Amino acid sequence: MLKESIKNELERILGKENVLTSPEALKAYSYDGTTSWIREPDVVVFPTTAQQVSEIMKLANKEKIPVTPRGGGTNVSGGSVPWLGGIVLCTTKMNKILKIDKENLTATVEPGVVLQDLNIALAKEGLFFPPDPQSFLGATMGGIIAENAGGPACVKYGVTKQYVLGLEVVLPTGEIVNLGGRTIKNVVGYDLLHLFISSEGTLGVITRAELKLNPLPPAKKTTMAVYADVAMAGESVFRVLENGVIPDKIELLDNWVINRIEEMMPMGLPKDADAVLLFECDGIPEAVEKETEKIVDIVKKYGAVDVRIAKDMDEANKYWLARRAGFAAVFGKAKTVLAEDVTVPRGKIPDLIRKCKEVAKKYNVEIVVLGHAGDGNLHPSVLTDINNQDHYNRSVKAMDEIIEEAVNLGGVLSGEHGIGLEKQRFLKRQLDPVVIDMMKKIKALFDPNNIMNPGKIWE
Amino acid sequence: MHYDIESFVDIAKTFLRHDQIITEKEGLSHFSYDATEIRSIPHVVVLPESTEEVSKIMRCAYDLEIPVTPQGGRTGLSGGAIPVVGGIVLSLVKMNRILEIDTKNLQIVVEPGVVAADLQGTLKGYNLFFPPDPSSTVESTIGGNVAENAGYTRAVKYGVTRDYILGLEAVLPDGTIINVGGHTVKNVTGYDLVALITGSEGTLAVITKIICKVLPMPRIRRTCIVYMDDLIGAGDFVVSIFEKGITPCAIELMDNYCINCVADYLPSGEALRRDAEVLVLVEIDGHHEVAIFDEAKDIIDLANKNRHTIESRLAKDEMEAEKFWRIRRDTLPALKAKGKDHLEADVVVPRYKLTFLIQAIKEIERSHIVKIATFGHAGDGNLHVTIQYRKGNFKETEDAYTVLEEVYKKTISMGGKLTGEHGVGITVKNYLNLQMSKEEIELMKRIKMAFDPKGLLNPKKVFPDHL
Repeated sequence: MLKESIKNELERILGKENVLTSPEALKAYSYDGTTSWIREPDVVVFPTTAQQVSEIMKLANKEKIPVTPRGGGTNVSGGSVPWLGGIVLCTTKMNKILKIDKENLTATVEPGVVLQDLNIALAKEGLFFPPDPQSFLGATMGGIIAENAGGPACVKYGVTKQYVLGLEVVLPTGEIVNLGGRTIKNVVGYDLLHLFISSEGTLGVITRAELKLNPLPPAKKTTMAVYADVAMAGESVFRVLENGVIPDKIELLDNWVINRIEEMMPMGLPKDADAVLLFECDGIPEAVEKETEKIVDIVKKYGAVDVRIAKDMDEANKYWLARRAGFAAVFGKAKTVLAEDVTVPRGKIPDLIRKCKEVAKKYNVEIVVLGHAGDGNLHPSVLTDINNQDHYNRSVKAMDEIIEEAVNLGGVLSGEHGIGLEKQRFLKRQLDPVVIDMMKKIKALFDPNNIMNPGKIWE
Repeated sequence: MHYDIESFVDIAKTFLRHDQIITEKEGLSHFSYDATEIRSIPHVVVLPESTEEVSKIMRCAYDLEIPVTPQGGRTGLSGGAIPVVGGIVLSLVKMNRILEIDTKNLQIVVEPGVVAADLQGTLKGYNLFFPPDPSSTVESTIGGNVAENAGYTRAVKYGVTRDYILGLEAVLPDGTIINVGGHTVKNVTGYDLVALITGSEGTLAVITKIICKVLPMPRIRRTCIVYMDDLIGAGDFVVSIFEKGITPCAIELMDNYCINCVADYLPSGEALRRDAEVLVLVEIDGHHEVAIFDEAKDIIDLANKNRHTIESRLAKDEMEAEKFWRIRRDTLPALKAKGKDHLEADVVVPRYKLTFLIQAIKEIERSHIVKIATFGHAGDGNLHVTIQYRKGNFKETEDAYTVLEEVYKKTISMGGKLTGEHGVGITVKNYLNLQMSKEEIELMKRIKMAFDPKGLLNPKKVFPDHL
């Protein structure tokens, strides 16, 4: 329970309208994009300046109240769920694009800016922010940075951390510090900037970000390759890259997903295919043409039974809409979905897919595979129902085996979703106790009272 | 400071061969310097050949409380590899194996002592390349490049060293071996300790194994040279290239003084335009001939449309491209040939501010007696400033340091940083206060303490002597 005096103090800092304690409000901020982690905060606050964030943190630090930073709440590992109650610090009212600098290809934004809004504003200037988490309609920049979000386009463009030049952050103890800067190169001291990126809101609150941008590529082309065997699709992925072609996206949909999409919105996807790969090339028109030709040659050589090149933007958009609908299809078809984020070196994709099939059979559960094949970041998902104890237990076991296999294949637990609450119990399988200990030490240096998004990453 | 070197050597002898331990004076002096002019002789040098040996050395030094300075090819430009307080130099040059080249996943695993140029040579055979290559020196080792998060000419298109490091094996000051990161491009399991150790200048851990991303080797490159009569005009030219949607793999720039020094220095110097205010070198690379040729044509068009262009040329073949590059690469030797002492700064500003910074530096020069040369990476805003003076001359020396501080202050006022690719090391550490808040330095200090509670690893680096 929140003390009345604390509430009054928060209202003094932020104004009454920016401090919510109604049961409805607390419920609305009790969960994120996962559906299995729910916990209500005691209060939700909406600061509009770094100064206010600083005052909130000073108060919380003094009173030892947990603070969970939150943006759009679209994250899928439980990172923004207020696990120990306390304050949810929601940055959605800090949503101004402060500057778009065409000369330096940078933008300065507040943490609550929604990625889609940013990209719409940037497109007017012929620019874009390359990392593309598929929750871009609601995901905010602060969260994207805190989770080091990925997306399909990371095959070519890399992940969020490569596009953040500087951050203004408020430490758990209330100090406002500036990390990094506005330059591409910067080797002044330790890289605290990158320590902050992907720290899942456990080291401080991001209040402003300086982003690196790219010019919008003038041309794009989408190619779909159809496979009778999903493992062969996996092989095509690294064959394409090995041959010097780096598309901006390589996505995989398996048979189950294809059929669900066809049920929802028939678009002529090959229903009997074991899997399809969607390739997108971008760049200057001549290069895009050449790369597409090369992809067609390579996938044919490595087992694609059919190849379709989207004849225009409409057809291309249709394919990509299907890809995005894939996840919705998965979540729509089961009461509970265990959606994983394991990532393996690209060359190991066929092994991981084989394992998924084997495990599905062994535990008699349905496992769907779709995801960012281009960087080895698949999202194998087990369809289950948390209320059916027997089925759920088998599903959890299946998922455990897949994670184990991914780590054995030289992969990682999480490629882009983060550890949050969802993957804590697996952390020790991947990281040395010494390394976890080092991370905890760093956490304690920044946050001596453990008030900043406590209960996350490690158990 | 007295260290128990004798005990250390005795213990080291139990797990290292004779030739892996150096204690005689002549041998030690070889390990006393890097590419700066600073020198300091260590008490002992050890040359481990495996991670286990590094771990044992670190443990032993930890127990005996002897400082350790890790060292690679000693080509650093900020004094990071110099054993300023003596003690042990841990040279990684014998850990120089390329352990794995994985063409399926476009990644490699290497030991820290691998020489960058050797690595590129080997990768070429696989049609691959490792973009972050500070090619200025053939001797630089990958471990050092990672520890310094080295930059290079291609950073404008390909990013810095950090962007290519997926995982590290490292040894902590107490001898513990840790593995951070992994084999995947996407990895968000816990804090990014890879980024923290990368660029920490050998002060947090000794890097013993590196997993890096590599790329398919671009097949085509085209190189243009543009002489212009106005600095700001050159900055506008650079911006116009990006606005056209072209990201060159290098955009280099030299001022009039550098052009003239190189013209004096090179046998083929008469081909240079001594009258130009600035020379801009632009290179593009890629996999598709037609595309690259079109881009090259666009760049020349943009140059010719700019009213400040005096002359623009597209290299007709590799040989001519090499000639253009020679001008840029010989800049530093040409400046050195003037026979003066040098103070160097490695400042960086947002790209478009670069020519304004050069202009401001010219302004500074006017009210001083020393000569200032500027050249650098216009594509990423990284400017190398060379202040020429004579050490023997007290007035010039004093003036040179005053100018250096003015350059730093100007850089910061333009939103820039004290060092873009060389690191803080010894040469920049006492200017750190100009840039960083007390809170930030304090945070860094606490991190240093967490890794190295006894303060034995590469001491007296990065942090200012006085807060």
